[in-house]
Amino acid sequence: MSTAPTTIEEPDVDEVVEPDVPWIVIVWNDPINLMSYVTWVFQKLFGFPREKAEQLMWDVHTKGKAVVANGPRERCEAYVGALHGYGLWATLQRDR
Amino acid sequence: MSRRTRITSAGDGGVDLRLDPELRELLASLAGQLSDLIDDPEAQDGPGLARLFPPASMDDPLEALGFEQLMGDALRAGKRESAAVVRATAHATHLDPEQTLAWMRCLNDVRIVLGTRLDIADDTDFEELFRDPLTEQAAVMYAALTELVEMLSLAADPR
Repeated sequence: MSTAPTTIEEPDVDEVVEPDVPWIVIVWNDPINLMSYVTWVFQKLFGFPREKAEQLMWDVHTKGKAVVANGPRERCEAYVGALHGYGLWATLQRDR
Repeated sequence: MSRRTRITSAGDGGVDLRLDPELRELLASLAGQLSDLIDDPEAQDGPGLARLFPPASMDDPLEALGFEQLMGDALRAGKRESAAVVRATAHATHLDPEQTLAWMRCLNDVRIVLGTRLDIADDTDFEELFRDPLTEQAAVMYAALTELVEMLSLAADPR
């Protein structure tokens, strides 16, 4: 058993799981949508700067998928709907 | 595609279009066919529409069904509306930002339907599709739409 820490560690902000934010939106790679188009959609829909939109597009392209948004279920459903409106292949799921 | 095809940024966030009249006629026709396909009850289970309206969950059919009930009508209406804008502005030399968005969505949707029918993959040999009489026409249209969506994505302002 480890000894008790003498100071209380601050939790890493990234590790804090908000109970009301359990959903994520995933965009999947597909052989039809163009890199330029996907980058444009990420800029348009999420308001990302070009560099961030391009990085996400590369993640989708090279890793097969990328998490593009998170938040309450309703918000994630709205994003998936918007992404399907653009013809991107998007799904939502609980962020387990 | 004709060397006369040009799509450039316009000052208002939209684009200026220089396209052959024949290509414009083709785009209007494809937009109309897309609308018909979306409304065709026989086509609902086909691969093209399945890819246009993919399930919203990978592993939860109930979530996917709920999403379809929640969003399906609005998604179909949005795609119909974009197709109607393309038909109405097929001969325009300038598109405002909203019309530009409709063109990008609609032409990309047609690419998705054609690409799905052609079974496009990352390693697809397009020369073979161009040579095969069964796929030549769809492949030529797919390639033309690819170039247009690429040009629109580079010219249109995403802000």
